[in-house]
Amino acid sequence: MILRYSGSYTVKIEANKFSLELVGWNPPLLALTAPLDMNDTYRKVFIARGLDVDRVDDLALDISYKFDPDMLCIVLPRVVGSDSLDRYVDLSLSILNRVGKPLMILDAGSVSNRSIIEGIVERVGEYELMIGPADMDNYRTYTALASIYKQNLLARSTTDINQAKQLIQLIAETGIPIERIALDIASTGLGLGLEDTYNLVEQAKLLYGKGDHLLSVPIAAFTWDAWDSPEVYLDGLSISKGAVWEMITASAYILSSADIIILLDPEAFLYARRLIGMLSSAV
Amino acid sequence: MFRKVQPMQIYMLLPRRNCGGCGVTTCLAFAAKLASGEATPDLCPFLTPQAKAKISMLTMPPVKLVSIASSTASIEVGGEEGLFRHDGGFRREARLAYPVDLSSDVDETMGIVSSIDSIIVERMDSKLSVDFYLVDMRGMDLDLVEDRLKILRTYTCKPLILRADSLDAYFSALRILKDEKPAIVVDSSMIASEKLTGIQSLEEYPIVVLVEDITILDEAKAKMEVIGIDRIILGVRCHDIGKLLRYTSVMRMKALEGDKRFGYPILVDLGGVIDHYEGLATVTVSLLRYSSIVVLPRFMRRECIEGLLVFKQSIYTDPKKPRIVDPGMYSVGSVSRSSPIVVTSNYALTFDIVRRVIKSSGVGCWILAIDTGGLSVASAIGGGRFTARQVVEAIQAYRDRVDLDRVPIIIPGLASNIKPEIEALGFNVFIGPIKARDLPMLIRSLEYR
Repeated sequence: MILRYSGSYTVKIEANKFSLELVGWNPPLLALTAPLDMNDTYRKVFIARGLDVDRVDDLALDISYKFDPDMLCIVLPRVVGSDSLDRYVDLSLSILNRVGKPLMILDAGSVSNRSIIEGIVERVGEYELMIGPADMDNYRTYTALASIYKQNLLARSTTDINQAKQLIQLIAETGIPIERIALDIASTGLGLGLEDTYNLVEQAKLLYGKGDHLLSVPIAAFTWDAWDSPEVYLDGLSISKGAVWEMITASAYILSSADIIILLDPEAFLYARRLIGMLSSAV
Repeated sequence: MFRKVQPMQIYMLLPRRNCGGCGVTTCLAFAAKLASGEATPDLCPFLTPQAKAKISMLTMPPVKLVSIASSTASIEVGGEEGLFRHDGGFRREARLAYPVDLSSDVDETMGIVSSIDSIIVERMDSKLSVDFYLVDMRGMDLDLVEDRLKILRTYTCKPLILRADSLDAYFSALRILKDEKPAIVVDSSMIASEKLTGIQSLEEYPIVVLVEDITILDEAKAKMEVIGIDRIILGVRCHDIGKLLRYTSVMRMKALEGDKRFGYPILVDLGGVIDHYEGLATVTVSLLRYSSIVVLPRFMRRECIEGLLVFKQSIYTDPKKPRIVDPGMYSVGSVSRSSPIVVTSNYALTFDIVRRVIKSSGVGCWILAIDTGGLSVASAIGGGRFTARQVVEAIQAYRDRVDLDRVPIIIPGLASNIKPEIEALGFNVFIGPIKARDLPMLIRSLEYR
């Protein structure tokens, strides 16, 4: 998969096959998240890390300059009034032009979000983003957008390897080259079923190693859910616990050979980068 | 690669009387249980000693099982038979040990022990805590060893792993730990200096052969075997993640290939880890890559230990066994006939999260676990196993406990589409939040209506 960003720079993501000793391992791309709709947890996390949360495009820039992630993930607000659609399109394009990073734009699960994404991809020109998530219900909308505007697609399946393959197959049948698809197998956080999803990534990577073409797509794993684990907020939100929960989540996905890890907390991002550095120097 | 024994191989060794004495109706079913490790040959009343020994050999996992015990708790490590969670690689939970320097200031040391003992995470009906202490007694007088161990035992009853630089120190320690089976660390310096005279008398204790260079591990372990010690744990003292990953992966792969030299549980001692991040990363990698015991760095923060406890409990669950709670109505806190009913699936993880969130908030309500076969709410909805009809039938079964005309019923946010159907039957239905942590707020708001 190739993501094209400012000045026609590109980043190529090559899917890993599973290796216990990380033989032939491509270190995963590490993305940080800039949500356009700031919930209370996100706001507290970003403030704790010294980030500017007053303006979302400034936040994206701030994250980009301070932490230099390989990629930035923008999450659209779930509820957007019809009069605000253009504003979010402009905001997203402004972020894209200012941060100079490969970009993933995520729909928070509403029809209005898809209109915003359509507005963005219409105007991004030669940039090649990753858009989604495309699931069993909405994949036709996304494949149409990805096909017309030559964009990359993030598919999201349930926690089932066969359903994941079925989704990739359905998307590929609409004419999207498999090289333009990434897959999220319902990634989640520590305490919320991480054990099942990291294990599914391992299985997918093992199957790819055995020649399963449908699983040759890069696998993306989101670690944000770690912040929803009951242990993190039972006595009120604990930033230090949330960070540890997200770090452990990221470790499991890194070891499972995931290709893109999307983090929320910059502290967890720094941890993941260091872990990757330690593993890379050893293999 | 390791091949699991087939039930038929075991069946041929059984008496084939189908007597039911083992608690299973037929010998074939018993053979299947033996093959999967769910039963032991002792349960069969008619099995000859020879057949018992043969079956034990056949069912022995490629990684040996070793127990470490205090007078109140016995913990088994090892017994693994795969590389991945989905093929039996994570059957017996890995264990965490915390290092204690017995020669340090007593008050400070016992303060650390009390603090570590106080770390308890309640989750999925279990209380998770650090499992062992690695007690460092090196350089201590024998009298002091005995005194300090006596004091330590008044603070904690966790099983111990002992580390000393002479066998005499171990003998002193074992005089104090009479009814216990602590693990004994024999490191490469002890082996090299041949300070092992009399170690045969420790054969009933698990011996950790601890080296810093894995290339001498096999040689060190072989010396133990020559002496007649076979309750061995292979110990590696290393904090280089890359090296550890290679060492432990190779050891597990060799064990599964039938190489008996590596068919023992692995202990990883992370001495030398420089900071909090490196410590967390190294322990996490060790847990994912086959360490049966990980000795934590001394400076590890409480929240890191708590996170690691949750992590190891999570990964050491069998993905082939659905984690379920019995379907039905459960009360949380103080409830009445008109307390809200929170409807969820009987997937144990979901149920546990919902229950803990509500319990910690102090609100009282009922939780109705619907029989989804152990599927989460999202998966159950997708598979047609979380329907309005199921919810209504389940609620009606509890009409003696709740006032069906008044009680608010909170359905999961993901199941909002079944609300009209339940409402049409006269129930008072509310759509719950997507995230469990927002439930208490909704329940409180219903109390004020």
